[in-house]
Amino acid sequence: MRRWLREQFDRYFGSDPVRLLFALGGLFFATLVVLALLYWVVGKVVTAGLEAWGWDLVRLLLGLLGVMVVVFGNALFLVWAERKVAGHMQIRIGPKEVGPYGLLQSIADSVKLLAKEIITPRFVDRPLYLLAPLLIFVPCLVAMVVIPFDARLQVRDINVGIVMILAFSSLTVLAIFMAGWGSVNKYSLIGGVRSISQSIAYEIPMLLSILPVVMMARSLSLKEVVEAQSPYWFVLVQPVAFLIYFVCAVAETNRTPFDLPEAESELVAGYHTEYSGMRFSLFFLAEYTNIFIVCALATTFFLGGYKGPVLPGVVWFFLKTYALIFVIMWFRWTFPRVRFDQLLNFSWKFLIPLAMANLLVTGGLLKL
Amino acid sequence: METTLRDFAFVLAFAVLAILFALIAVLIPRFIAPRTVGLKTESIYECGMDPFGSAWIRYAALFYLYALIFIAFDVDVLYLFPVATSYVRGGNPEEFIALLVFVLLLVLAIAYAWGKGVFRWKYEGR
Amino acid sequence: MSLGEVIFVVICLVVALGALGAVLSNSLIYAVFFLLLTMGGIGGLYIYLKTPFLAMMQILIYLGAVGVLLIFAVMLAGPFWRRPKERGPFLKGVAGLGVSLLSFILFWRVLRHHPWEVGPQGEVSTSRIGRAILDRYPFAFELISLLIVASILGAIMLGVLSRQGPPKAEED
Repeated sequence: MRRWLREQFDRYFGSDPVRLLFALGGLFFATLVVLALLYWVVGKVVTAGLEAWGWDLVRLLLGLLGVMVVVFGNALFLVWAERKVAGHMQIRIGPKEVGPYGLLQSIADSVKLLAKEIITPRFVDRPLYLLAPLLIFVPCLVAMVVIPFDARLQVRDINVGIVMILAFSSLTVLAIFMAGWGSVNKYSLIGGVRSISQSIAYEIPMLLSILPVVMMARSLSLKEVVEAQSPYWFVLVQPVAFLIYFVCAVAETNRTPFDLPEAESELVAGYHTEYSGMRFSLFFLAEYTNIFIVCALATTFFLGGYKGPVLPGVVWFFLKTYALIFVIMWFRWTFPRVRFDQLLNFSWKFLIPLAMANLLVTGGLLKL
Repeated sequence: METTLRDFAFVLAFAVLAILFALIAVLIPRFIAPRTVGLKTESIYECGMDPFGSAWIRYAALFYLYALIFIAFDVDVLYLFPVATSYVRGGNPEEFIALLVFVLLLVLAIAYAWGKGVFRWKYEGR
Repeated sequence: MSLGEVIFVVICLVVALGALGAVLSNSLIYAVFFLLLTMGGIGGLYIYLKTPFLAMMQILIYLGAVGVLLIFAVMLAGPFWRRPKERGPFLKGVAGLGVSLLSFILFWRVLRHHPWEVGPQGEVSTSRIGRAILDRYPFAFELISLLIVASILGAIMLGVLSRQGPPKAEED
């Protein structure tokens, strides 16, 4: 394509300087026209948007900005924290050179990743291979829309919020499969298949463990779920559901001990083996954002969300969330990886019956 | 505009932004990253060996079976969500009975799968 | 045309494009993904019908569950990623035209002769669906469970039958 353009260009403008001058002038003029059109369209859209949307548009834009800050800040922090926690668990220090306590390490890493070469293997299934890293990021951001960071710090309180997060998180599975299938690599495909089976096996107990919460809050809006926990947190009345949810959360985010889709010692890197540079880091970013989201949801459903004494709600929310994330990191250095059949059967034979029993007990007790 | 549409306009905006962001992130290295093409640069990675055979092989029917059970369960559990939102605290024991029958029927399915050996990972007789 | 209407038209186009792609693409896996595109678009249409819960169910079930099922089905299909040999273009064209004509007549009749009522305005809330299930249709609710259990049993029967390896006598 590029060579063809170059040939065409040479054919028409290459030899003749006057022609070239005309071409440049034309290009300049075309750019001006395009810019003017763009200005007009953007102006129209913004005015129309403000007229129809009013303050909601401001909310949307601020929300987009805030969510981006949370996503990036979280990823940068978690990359550092993961290494630091790992280090201290193994009686090492972890990163310490770049910045105080190595805090700037992840910024240095991300700059490095930005400048890395992007390699596209020759025989990949191009459309799927290229689409996967774009798609993997959608559910992460969409879930952020409804997460209540504080009583009033929520982008939009959608009244089917819980189901919406669950629905969009199924896109992750598709994106992972696209990556695995598209990169025509045995490790990738096996990683993709494992990831799908794992997430479908653990989605059912996850849904079943959220149901008692919905039953008690009588709403699918996340904010109302938090508000329903005013005398006591749901973890006190639903400890079983919380444990099931947390196990499923670890499994859904492919963390150790359920990290079979990307088990380094078996599958190189699993479904993103063939991705390099920025494409790889998109997967990475999505992974860390997903960890944040499942822990934020656990906080919202069971740990009272932003509720807490003295400190402002946001602080409580992030404290609880990052405490849960720390537990997940702790798991990584405590449990060995499970075998694949054990993984699936643990869900079908143990978690699902347990979650169902829990649901029935909750249903019965609510009627008393 | 109605609240439903506006709610999901937020969702749509965030989804579009996610894709846009990913596009930009992938496009930036095009301008600053080095580009080298060696003999094996564009080959897929199989631990250094030359790749052999196709990756697109057939997978065990077991995965399909798990997916089938999953889809049935998924549909079922989703019916429970509206029920859960309108489940009244106290009184009205019929609601609990409806829930009980529904879930017990589901348990039947798991019990059947268990008994038939769907969760066993070895071929019969081996 | 307001922004909402523009998005509506775009969603309709996506649905149509997905359907066309599912029929016309020459690789099974692309056909699956195009079909999923259509399903997602239909989810969007549900939002315009102000039933967000149904829309989310559509996405969860069709993209999350049926999509996975179709993908595994494709992986079972063996190394025949390309389609098998097809009929000639003439026959295909005739069949396509026939089906299109039939469905056009059907839809036309339905659209013309059905008395359209404007339902209650506003969003159909999830708890209203739940109330309806619990108060008016509890029997149908149990029947759903029964139906799904029956389908699981059927699937397991077929699957287990095909899984059984050679009889024990032939082993070793």
